[in-house]
Amino acid sequence: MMKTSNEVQEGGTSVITKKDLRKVFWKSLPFEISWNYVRQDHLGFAYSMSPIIEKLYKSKEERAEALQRHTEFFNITVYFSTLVLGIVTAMEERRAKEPDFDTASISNIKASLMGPLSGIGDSIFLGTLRIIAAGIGASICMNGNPAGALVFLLLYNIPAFFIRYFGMMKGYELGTTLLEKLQKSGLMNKVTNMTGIVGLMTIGSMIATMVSLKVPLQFGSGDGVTELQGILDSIMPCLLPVCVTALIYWLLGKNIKTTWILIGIIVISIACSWLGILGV
Amino acid sequence: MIKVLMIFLIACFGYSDYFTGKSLQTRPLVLGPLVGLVMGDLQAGCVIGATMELAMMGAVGVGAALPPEVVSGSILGTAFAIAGSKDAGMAVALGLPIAMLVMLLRNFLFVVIVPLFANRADRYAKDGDIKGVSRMHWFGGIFGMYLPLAVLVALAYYLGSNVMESVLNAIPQFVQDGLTISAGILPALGFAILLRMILNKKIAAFLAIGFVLTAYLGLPVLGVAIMAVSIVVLMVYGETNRPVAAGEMEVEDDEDF
Repeated sequence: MMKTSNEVQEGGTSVITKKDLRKVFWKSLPFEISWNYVRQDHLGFAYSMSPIIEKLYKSKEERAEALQRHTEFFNITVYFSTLVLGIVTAMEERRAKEPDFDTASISNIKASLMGPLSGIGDSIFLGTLRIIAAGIGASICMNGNPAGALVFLLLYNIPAFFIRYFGMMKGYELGTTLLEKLQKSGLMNKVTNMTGIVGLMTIGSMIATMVSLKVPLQFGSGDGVTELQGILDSIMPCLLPVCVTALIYWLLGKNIKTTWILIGIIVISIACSWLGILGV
Repeated sequence: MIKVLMIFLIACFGYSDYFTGKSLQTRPLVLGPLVGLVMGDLQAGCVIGATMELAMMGAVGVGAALPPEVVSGSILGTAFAIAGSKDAGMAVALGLPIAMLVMLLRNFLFVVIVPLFANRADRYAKDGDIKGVSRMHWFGGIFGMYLPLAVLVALAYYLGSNVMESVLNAIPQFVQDGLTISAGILPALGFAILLRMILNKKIAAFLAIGFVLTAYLGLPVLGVAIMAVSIVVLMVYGETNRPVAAGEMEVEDDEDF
C-alpha cells in the first residue's frame, strides 16, 4: 500500500464535504438488508453511494451510469464497507471533475478491495472481537444476570462503529491524496490496468474459493470404486466452478438476461440434485 | 396470544441486526434473556441464552458461507425449553429443526425473492432513478427478508415444535439439497457480471494467475491481493524509471471488449 500524507481535505477544491461523508456513513448501516446470492451487497453499496451520486451528477445519463456501476457484485465484512465507500467517493468526485476519467478503475478498486478486506474483517470482528465479547457476556449471563447481553453488545459495537466511521473519513482522504499523487506522476492513464490486475487476481482467487460444485457420482463397486469428483480434481482443481463461471460469462455476452440465468441455475440445481448429478 | 405477539416483536428486534449494520442482536446471548422475560423466567432465559451462545459460537456468517439461522433457533429453542421446563441442552435440540426450516426459507428468499427486487432496481438504475434504486434496497430487505422471517418465527412459536418438524420432513430432500447447490453456484453469476465489466485482453492472464495461486497453491484471497499489489508496484517502478515520451501515454479504450 502506498503512503499518504496527513493533510486533511477540507473545503478547497473538493465538492464533497464532511457532511456528505457522514450521510454515506449512516446509509451504510443497512448495508446487508437486500443481500442475495447473486450480487450480494450490491444494492447496499448503491444505496450508500446515493447521496454522493445525487450531489456529483445532475444529468440522467450520468446518474444512470453511476448507479449501474455501483449495482455490480459486491461483498464485504460490513464494518469495512465505509473504507471502500470512502475511497470510491474520492474516485467519483474526480470522475465528476474530469469526464475522461476511466470509470473501469472504480469497478476495479471495488473488486480488488472486497476480497482481502473481507478476509481481514471477518477474522478481526467475527473471529476475534465477537468471541471475546461473547465470552465475557456469557460469563455474566450464566449467573442469571441479563446485563451480560448489554455488555456483549457494547463490547462488540463500540469498536465496530468506531472503525466504520473512521473508515469512511480515512478512506476518502486516502482516495483523494492517492489520486492526486497519481495525477502528478503522470500515471493516471495506467490506473485502469493497474487496478484491473489486482481486481482480476482477487476475482480469480475468489472463483476458486466461493463458487462450489460437487459431483457425488461413482463408478464401479466395492474396492474398484472410482469417484468422478476425484477424476475432475486430478484434471484441474475447481474445474467445475471455472467452467460454470465461463459459461455464465459467455451467456451474458449473448445478452441473456441475468434473471433467466438466475432461474436457470436454480432449476438446474434442483434437477441435478434429483438426478444425483450434483451433491451438497 | 400476547406471547405470540411478544415473540414476534423479539424476532423483529433480532432481525433488525441487518438494519443496524450487523450489530449482533441476532445472538442467543441477547435474545435468550428477552425471551426469558416474556416467558416469565428471566433467570432461565439468561442461562439458556449464554449456554446456546457458547454452543453456537461458530454459527456466524463468514464470507459467503451460510450460517445456520441463529435468530429463530435461539428464540424458539429458549421459548420451548422454558415452556416445558427443560434445560439449555434441550433448548438447542428444540431450536435446531426450526433453525433448519427457517434457514431453508431464508435460502429461498436470498436465492429467488430478493434478486427479483434487485432486477427491478436494475431498471431504475438504467433510468438514473436514485430514489427507485434506494427504494428497492429497502423493499428487498423488508419484504424479501425481514418480515417473512419474523412472521415465520412467530408462526412457528404458535404452532409448536412438533408441527415444525413434520413440515421440514414434508419438503423433499432433493429440493433442499438443490437450493443449497444453487447457493454454491450463484456467486459465479456475480463474478461473471463483474468480469464482463473489468476483463480486457491485455490483463486477462492475471485472472488465471489469481485462480492458480488459490486453486493449486491454496493461497487465501488476502495473499493473492498482496501479491497483486506487489506486481503493480513493480510495474509502476519499472514505468517511472524509464523515460517516457508523451505520445506513448495514449489512453487505450477497452470499453467495447
